[in-house]
Amino acid sequence: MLLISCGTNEAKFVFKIPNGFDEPDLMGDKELTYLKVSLGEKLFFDPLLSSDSTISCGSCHQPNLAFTDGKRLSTGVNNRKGKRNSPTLLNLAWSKRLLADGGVNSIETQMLVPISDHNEMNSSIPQIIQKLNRDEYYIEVFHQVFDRKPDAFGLTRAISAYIRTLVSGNSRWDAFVAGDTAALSVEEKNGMDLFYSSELNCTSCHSGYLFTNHTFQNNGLYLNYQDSGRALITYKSEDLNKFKVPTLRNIELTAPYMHDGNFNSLEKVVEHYSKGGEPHMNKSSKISPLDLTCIEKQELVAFLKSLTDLSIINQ
Amino acid sequence: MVSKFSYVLAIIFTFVVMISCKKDTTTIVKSGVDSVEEKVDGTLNIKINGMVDNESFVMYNNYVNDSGQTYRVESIRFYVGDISLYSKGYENNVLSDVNLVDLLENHTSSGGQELLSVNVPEGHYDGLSFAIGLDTATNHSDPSIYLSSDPLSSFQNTHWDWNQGYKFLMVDGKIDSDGDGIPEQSFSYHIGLDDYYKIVDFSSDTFRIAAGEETDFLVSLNINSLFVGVDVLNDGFTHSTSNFPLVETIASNSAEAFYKN
Repeated sequence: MLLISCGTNEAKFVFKIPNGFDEPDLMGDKELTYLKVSLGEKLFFDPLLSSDSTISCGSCHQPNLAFTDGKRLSTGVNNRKGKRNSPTLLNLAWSKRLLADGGVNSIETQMLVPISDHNEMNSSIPQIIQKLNRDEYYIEVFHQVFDRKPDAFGLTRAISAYIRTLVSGNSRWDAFVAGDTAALSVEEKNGMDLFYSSELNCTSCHSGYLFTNHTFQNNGLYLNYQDSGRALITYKSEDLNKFKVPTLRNIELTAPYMHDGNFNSLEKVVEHYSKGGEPHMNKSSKISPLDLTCIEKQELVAFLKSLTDLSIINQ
Repeated sequence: MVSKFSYVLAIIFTFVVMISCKKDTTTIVKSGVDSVEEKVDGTLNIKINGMVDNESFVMYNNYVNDSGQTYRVESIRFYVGDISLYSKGYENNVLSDVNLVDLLENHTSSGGQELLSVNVPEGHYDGLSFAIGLDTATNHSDPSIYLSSDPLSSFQNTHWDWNQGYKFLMVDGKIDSDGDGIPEQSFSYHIGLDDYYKIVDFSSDTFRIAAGEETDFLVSLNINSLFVGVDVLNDGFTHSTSNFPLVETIASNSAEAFYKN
């Protein structure tokens, strides 16, 4: 039997859309209420979700690091190493496919992955639901929000609701675009000009207000990868070792970089693109040696740092 | 007083609706014909048996496959989807979308595990078919929208979360690796993905549904047939992320392994 999303009489969450952003889909069971978001936030930071109650969503997605964890590879229960770098959760309300390989297409289904991954939470939906139904707070609030006891539907909808409120569109670059010409330094403006230039062509992938075109690309990080990337989902050789193009918003806060955290600084990332990467068979044709000068590299890094939105950290 | 009267009216109306719903008839539309015909229903019981060649399958029992390897199955579950009924002159009738079969309790002694019991119009039928697997839309649905008892719920542990899809067929067990006749090496075949959705076709197995009577349609799954062409000892693992020839072999075998009793 299909569950029907129940409407609630709770106060609707005031969702502020940053300038230049599209209107996200917040209809149906994606509708936001303060109580649902609050429940989702509590669940997000509750280690109860992991098998030994030591790891929460917030362990790998920390607000002060733009909802990443600062580690090359995330650490799960019993200090087990994950296989990928923790991505930011900011602006997922506009994301089309999730995970570095795009294996899932909604926040609701994405969270099932770390829950069941043995190297992350090592848990299961039945285990979590059993725990939640032993907790009086959760029983009461699930009834208030969803009009039923804790279950998989409520769990995934509540956490998704919280994640959809993690919005970031208030960087100095946003202020500059809005008309504040003093918001960027000369160095940052030079970096911006380089970034948007046809010679560098950064925007062929990092485009739009999220600085991603939502595609899967190989950027020549290695000749031989340990991770199949997109091919893990599509099983196509042309997708081998391709990964989702990440947003560049708040990139200053989300080190280390790449799907496996290979680069620990933006300087190394820019250096990689300047050299053009390894000649992998699936490397994007848009990536070739740029031979940037030292000044140009510094200016690019400065521009990337202007995409930092400190308001999300202070929220 | 008024509200009391309304309440009584509501009860009477509900009763009338319930009575009309109990009538065992089904309205069906003839393909290519504009007329609507009403027929009296009989009950079709589709049942399923686990077998190993000519004997009833028992979980954890040792068996020998066609390659002479001794094995035992410790878990076997599979989705039976899109059960469809065929009848000349009528549109194919999809009776059921999703069933999860677990052969842990194999009901051979009682005539098979009931897969589906449904009222269908009396008459002659040309056969039926079903799928081992789920249609694409169902396969990629969100497991958290289903009640915990639903065959598609996360509680069934049949969902690949990382790829947002279901395992169509799960066979786990052990195989004898040292020739002592005791299976001790694990094997695990989890078959999924849209490409491996397989139809089991009984479209030439005719049967008749009589009005007001029950008719059993019993099919058996020969477990040994699942392993035809498979070296379980040396090729004992796939979760459908690699070794696709093996995935295809087992998926195709699963469709061929069913027969009508």
